[in-house]
Amino acid sequence: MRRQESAGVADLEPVVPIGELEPATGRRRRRSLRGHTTGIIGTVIVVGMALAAIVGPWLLGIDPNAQELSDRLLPPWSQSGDGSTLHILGTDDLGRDVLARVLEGGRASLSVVALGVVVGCSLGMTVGITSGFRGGRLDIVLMRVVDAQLAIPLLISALLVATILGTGFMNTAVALGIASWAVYARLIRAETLKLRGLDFFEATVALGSSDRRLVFRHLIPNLISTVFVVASLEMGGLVVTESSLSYLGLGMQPPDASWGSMIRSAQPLITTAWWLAAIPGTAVMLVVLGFNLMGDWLRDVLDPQSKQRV
Amino acid sequence: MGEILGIVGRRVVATVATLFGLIIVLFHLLFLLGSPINLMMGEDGGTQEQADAIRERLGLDQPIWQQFLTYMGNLLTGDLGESWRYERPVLDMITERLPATLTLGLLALLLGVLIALPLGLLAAVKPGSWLDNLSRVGAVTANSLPNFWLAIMLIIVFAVQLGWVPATGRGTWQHLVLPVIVLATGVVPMLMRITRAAMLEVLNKDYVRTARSKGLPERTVLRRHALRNAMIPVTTVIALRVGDLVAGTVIVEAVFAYPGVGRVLAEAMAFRDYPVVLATVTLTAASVLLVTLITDIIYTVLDPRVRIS
Repeated sequence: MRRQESAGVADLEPVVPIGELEPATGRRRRRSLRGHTTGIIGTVIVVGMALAAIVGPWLLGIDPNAQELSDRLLPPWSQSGDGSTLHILGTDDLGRDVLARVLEGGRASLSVVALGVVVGCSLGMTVGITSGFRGGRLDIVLMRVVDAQLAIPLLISALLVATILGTGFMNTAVALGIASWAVYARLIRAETLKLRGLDFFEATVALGSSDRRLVFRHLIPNLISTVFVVASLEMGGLVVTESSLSYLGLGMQPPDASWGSMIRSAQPLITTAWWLAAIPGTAVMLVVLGFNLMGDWLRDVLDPQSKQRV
Repeated sequence: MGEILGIVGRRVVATVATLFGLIIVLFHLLFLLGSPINLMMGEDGGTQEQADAIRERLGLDQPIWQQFLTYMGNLLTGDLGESWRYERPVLDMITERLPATLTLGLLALLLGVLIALPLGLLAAVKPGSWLDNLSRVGAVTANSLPNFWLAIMLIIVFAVQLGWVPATGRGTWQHLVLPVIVLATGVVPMLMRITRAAMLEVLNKDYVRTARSKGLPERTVLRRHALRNAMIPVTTVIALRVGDLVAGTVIVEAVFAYPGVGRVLAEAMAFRDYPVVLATVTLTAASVLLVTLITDIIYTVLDPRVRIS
């Protein structure tokens, strides 16, 4: 009797095609390795730039706002007039050190974007969970709002919010958050609906869990990886948006350095001092590249299903 | 047929409702929360009487619902209000700049499609080839280039150093070269990856295998059987990029001092010229929603599967 039972269980065991059992060789392995390489490169860029922005100004020891008019518009790698400091990335039209300003600008840009992501995430999660969990008419209305928000491009909604709220650090962060919440909301709603249909969730409901417990103990922990992936993919776009805002004069304000405003003030000098625009621009490009590579990698690692979605 | 009309009708109603809701929200956000008067008066603020006079002239002294009803009433007759800064009809400001922006946007879209489709196709036909890898790396890099950075670099190299094309302004076709390239760079990466993915999927389909086993030449298989079917997701992506293209023109027009609607939008925002802001943002959203709607309708009519789901 016993034997037969165990034989029955063995029959139910899934038949694994032999091909699947073979070790990943050749192209498949190379592909997964390559994915990791670019992901690691991206992460290194992001972490490196973040570290540079945090400890760089302190290591360099040059005041980003110190003006020295006798050292105006020095090209990269030149000594100051009195020979005391080496301006590695040159100086701007007021004789301020470009490297110091790029680092300072990086600190401002990266922290405002990080705060913006937190704002956007919280807003989007609240709406997405409410919509997916409550359902019904509220869901329909909220998803219409998401549609309307998504019809306005990221940059234009950020500009709009910045127009209403005004410029400066906090306002820019809020503008970035409000401009980007809809993407989170839509994905979180879809994820919530999916989780709601799973057995464990229905079992928890059947056991009489309170809504509060359902959301905080069972939904949110399962949503974290999705949020992480979306956030990392959004970061690059937000860095571009932030620098575009300050480039257009609606983000963080001079004299505080930010990458966008540095480019803005460098543009009239483009014929005489190319580095003033090129250097902060390259910083933006590097960070965005880093975030994009890291985001793609995280998506592949944390959310393998979405690989098929290109 | 009646069924199709029903679906199309519902989509049209939903789109109009979304747009209408958007106008309501935008109007109240701008006119309730924003305080343009202080900004218009300058640093020293001016006297209370002056502020009141401006408010009265602009109709801002009326209750918000009345302002809104007036605005909506005018909107229905095609009147978008008057710019606070230039004291001209907003509609005129937009229509006189629209051709310039449309030229820019459509040329960029055309160039983007001309680059992205062949590259995506070739990459899909030979996955893993050097071309595939190169285009993948190119797409990731191009996707990370902020368009104003690219614009400035192109100006430095091609306008300042080489002097091949003018740096800024509008008038000749040379003025269009750099802005169009910058905008197209924003379109290509996504479009190319989608073309590749769609082609790869289609090439695995039974009907492609059937076409091949019939002994059709590979060219015919690719063009008649694969490409046509792969175009469906590609068109969707082109439609989805319209919004980004509009956002791109705002930046590109600012960098190249190109007088288009994007400039109007950016300037209006910088000077808190709310009637202009409201009109241009609504126009942007309307164009995105309209393109989405048209794509939806075309699918509903062409692809029977969409109707069922």
